[in-house]
Amino acid sequence: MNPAPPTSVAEDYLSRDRTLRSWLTTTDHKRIAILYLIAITGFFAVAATAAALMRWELLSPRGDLMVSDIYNRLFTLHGVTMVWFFLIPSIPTVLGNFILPLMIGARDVAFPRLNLASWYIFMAGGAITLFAIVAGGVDTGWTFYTPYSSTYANGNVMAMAAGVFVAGFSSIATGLNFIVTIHTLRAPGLTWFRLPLFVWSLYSTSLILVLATPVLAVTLALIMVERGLGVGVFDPRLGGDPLLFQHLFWFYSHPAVYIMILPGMGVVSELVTTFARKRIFGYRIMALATLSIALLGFLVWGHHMFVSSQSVYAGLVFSLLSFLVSVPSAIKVFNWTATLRGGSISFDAPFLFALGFLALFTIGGLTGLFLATLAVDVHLHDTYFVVAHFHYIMVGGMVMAYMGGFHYWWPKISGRLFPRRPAQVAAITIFLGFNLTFFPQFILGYLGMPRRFHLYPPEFHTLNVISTLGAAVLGIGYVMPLVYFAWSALRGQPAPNNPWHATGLEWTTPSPPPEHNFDRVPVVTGPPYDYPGPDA
Amino acid sequence: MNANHPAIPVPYVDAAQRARAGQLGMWTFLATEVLFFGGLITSYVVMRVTYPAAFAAGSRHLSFAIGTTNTLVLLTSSLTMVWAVALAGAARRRAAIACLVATGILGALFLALKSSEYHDKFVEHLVPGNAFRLPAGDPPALQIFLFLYFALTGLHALHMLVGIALVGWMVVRLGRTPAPPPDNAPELVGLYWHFVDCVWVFLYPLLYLVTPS
Amino acid sequence: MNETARNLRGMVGVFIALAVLLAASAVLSRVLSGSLATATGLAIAGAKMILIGVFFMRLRERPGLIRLAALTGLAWLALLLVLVLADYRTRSWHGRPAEMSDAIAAPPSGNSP
Repeated sequence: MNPAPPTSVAEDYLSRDRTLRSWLTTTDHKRIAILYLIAITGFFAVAATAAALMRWELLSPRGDLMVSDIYNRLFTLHGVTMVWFFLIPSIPTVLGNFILPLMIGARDVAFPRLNLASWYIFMAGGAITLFAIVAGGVDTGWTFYTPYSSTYANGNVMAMAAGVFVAGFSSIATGLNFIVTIHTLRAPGLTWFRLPLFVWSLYSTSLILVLATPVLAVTLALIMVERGLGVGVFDPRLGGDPLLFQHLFWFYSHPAVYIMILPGMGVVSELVTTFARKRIFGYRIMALATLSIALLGFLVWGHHMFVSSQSVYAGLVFSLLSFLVSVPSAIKVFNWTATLRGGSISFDAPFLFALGFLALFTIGGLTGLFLATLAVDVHLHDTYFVVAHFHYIMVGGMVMAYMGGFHYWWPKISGRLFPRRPAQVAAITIFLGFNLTFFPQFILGYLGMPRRFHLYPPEFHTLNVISTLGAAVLGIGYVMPLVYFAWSALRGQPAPNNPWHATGLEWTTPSPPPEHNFDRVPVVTGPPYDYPGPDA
Repeated sequence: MNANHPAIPVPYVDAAQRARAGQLGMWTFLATEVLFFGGLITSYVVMRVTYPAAFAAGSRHLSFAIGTTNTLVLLTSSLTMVWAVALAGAARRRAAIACLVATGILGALFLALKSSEYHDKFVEHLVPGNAFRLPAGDPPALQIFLFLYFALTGLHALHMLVGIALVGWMVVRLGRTPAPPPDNAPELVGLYWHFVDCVWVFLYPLLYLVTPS
Repeated sequence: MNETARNLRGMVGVFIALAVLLAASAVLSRVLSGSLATATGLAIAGAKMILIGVFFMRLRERPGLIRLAALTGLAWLALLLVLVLADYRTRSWHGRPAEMSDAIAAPPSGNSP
C-alpha cells in the first residue's frame, strides 16, 4: 500500500483508530457515512440480484424459469429493498452524512449519538427485512395493499412490514438531525442564501422525512395489527376501507419519491457548477424551487389512486396539483442547462453522471406528466409505462446522481484519486445500459403489457429481450466502479485537498479530513459557487 | 478541540448553541409525533364520517366519569411539570424533585384509571377481536370505534409510560451529588410531557364526548 | 427567586383556565348534540392546546423558528385530513351512496354470539 499523504498521517478520521470496535462505536459523522455506505451497497446488491433474476425470467414469454409465486416474491423483494434500504437512505445517509457538516463548517452533526443510533436502527430494520426474505419472502409488492396484505397474502408480511417500520425511525432520526444541524451549526457568515444547494436539498429532504415517515410507520403498524389480531380499519369485512390504507400509504410514499430525487438534484447542482466552472444560474430560485418541490410533493399523492375508486373530483384536484410539481422541477432543469452555457466544461466522470441525470430526469419527468393526466393514466395505469417512468426518475435520476456525487467526493472520503478513464467508461456504460433497459418498457407499457406478470403474449418478446440485454449492460456498468474504487482505495494516488478546484468549505479540509473536520471554525464571507467563469 | 470548555461537547461552540439545538430537536420530534398520531386520527375521522351512529353508540360505552377525571389528572400533572422545570432552572433542586415526583404520581394515576377502564371493556367483551360480543341494538361498526379507541389510547398510554420514565430519569439526575450544571434537559422532558397532555386533550372529546346527530 | 415565585403563581392561573374549559367541555357535551357538540368539543380542545402551548410550553417566549416547528406538525396533519376528506366527501357526487350504511358492515362470521 502506498504511504498516506503527508498532511494526514495518523490524524485523519480513517487512520485515527483502526479497530472494529472504534468503528462500531464511532459518533464521527464521516465514519457513520462509511458504515451506511457498506450497508446500502449490500442492500443494493440484494435488490439488484432480484431485478436480474426477473429480467432473466422475462427473456421468454412463457415464464419457464420460475412460477408466478416466486416472481411475485422477487419483485416485492426488489421494491422493498431498493426503496427503503437503498434509495431513501442513499444520498442523505452516505453523502449527506459525510459532506453536510463539512459544507457548513461544523465539526459534526447536531446529535452525533443519535446519528450512530440511526445506523443501528437501520441495520435492525434491515436484518428483520432480510429475515422476512430468507424465511420465504412476501408477495404483496412493495406497496402492501390491503386487504391482500392484511388478510390473504401468504408469506412474511408481518416481518417485512416490521422491518420497514423499524427502518423508518432511522429515517426520522437522520432527518431531524439534519434539520437541527443546518439551523444551528452553520459557520459564522454562512447565511441561508450562501448555503450550497446540496444543503438546501438535504434540508428539504429532511422536512419530508420527519413529516411523512411517521404516517407510514403508523400505517404499517395498523397492517400488522390487522393481520395479527384480525381487527382494524382497512378490512372491508369489518366495515373498514382499503382505500384508507392507500391514502395513508401514499401520503408517505409519494413524498418519498422526493426524498429520493431531491438530494440527487442537490448533488447535480454541485457537479454542474464545479465542472462548468460557473456560478449556478438563478441561485435563489433554485433554492426556493427545492423547498417548493418538498411542499408540493405532499399534495399530489392521489394520482396513485386514479383508478382505485377514489372520488373523481378528488382525482381532478390531485391531477391538477401534480402538474404544479413539474413547474419547480422544470425550473431546475432549465437553470442547470443555463449554467452550462458558456462554461468551461471538463468531462470528468462526475460530470458525465450529472449529464446523464439531466437527460434521464427530463424523460422521467415528462412521462410523469402523461401519468398525472387523469384520462391518460386510466390507459397507462399498472403497465410497464409506469415502471419505465419511475425507473427513469429513481435509477436514471437518483442513482446517476448518487454515482456522480460519490465519484465527486470520493477523493475527500478516501484521500485517494480514482482512475479517470475507467470511470468515464463506467458512466457511459451505465447511461447506455439504462436506456436500453428501460426505454423499451415505455413502448411495452403503451402497448398494454401489465407490470408484475412473468408471463406475457409473444408479441412483446423482442422488446423484452432488448430490455434484458440492457440490464446486462447496466449490471456491468455497476460492477466497474466497485473494481476501480477498490483499486483506488488500495493503490490510488493520494488526493490533494481540492482535486476538482471546486469552491465549498468541504474542499478546504485535508483529504481525508481529521476527526473534527476544522482546526478552527471557518468564517464565510461570500456567496457559494464563486467560480471565475462568466457570471450567470 | 474543546479544551477550554470541557462541559461543551462536540459539535457545539457554546452552551447557548447547544440549548438551541436541543430545543429545535425536541420541537421537530414533536412535529413527527403529531403525524404519528395523525395516521390514527385520520383513520378515526374517515371512519367517523362513515359510521356516525356507531361512533355515538361507542362513546356511550366509555366511562364519561373516568375520561373527565383523567383529563383533569393530566392537566394537573402539566402544572406540576411546569413548576418542576421552573424550579430546576432556578437551581431549587429539592422543590423541583418534589414537583417531578408529583408529576410522575399523577401520570401513574392516569394509567391506573385507564387500566381500570380497559379492564371493564375486557369484562364486557368489548375488546375488538375474537372475543368481541356486539351488544344488542348496537351497529356492527361499534367494533371499529372500539378498535380506534384502543389504538389511540394505547399509543397515548405508551407515550405516558415513556414520559414517566423520563420524569424518573430527571429525578435521579437532579438528585445526584455533586449537582450537575443546570441545562435544558428538564425543559425538554417538560415539552414532551405537555405534548402528551395535548394529545389527550383532543382524545377526550373525540372518544368520550361523541353525541348522536 | 421572586421572579420564579411569580412565574409559579401565574401558571396556576393558566391551570384554572384549563380546568374551567374542561368543565365547560364536559357540561356542554351533555347539553348540545350533533355537529354543534363536535365543533364545541374540538374548539375547547384547541383552546386548551393553545393555553398549554403558549404558557406551559413557553411558545410565547420562543423565537419564530420554534413556533414554526410547532405549527408545522399541525399544518401537515390538516393537509392530510383535508385531502383525504376531499376524496371521502365527494364520492357521493357521482351517483353512489352518500355513506356506507352502518348495516353494511357485518362482523366476520364467528365473531358475534
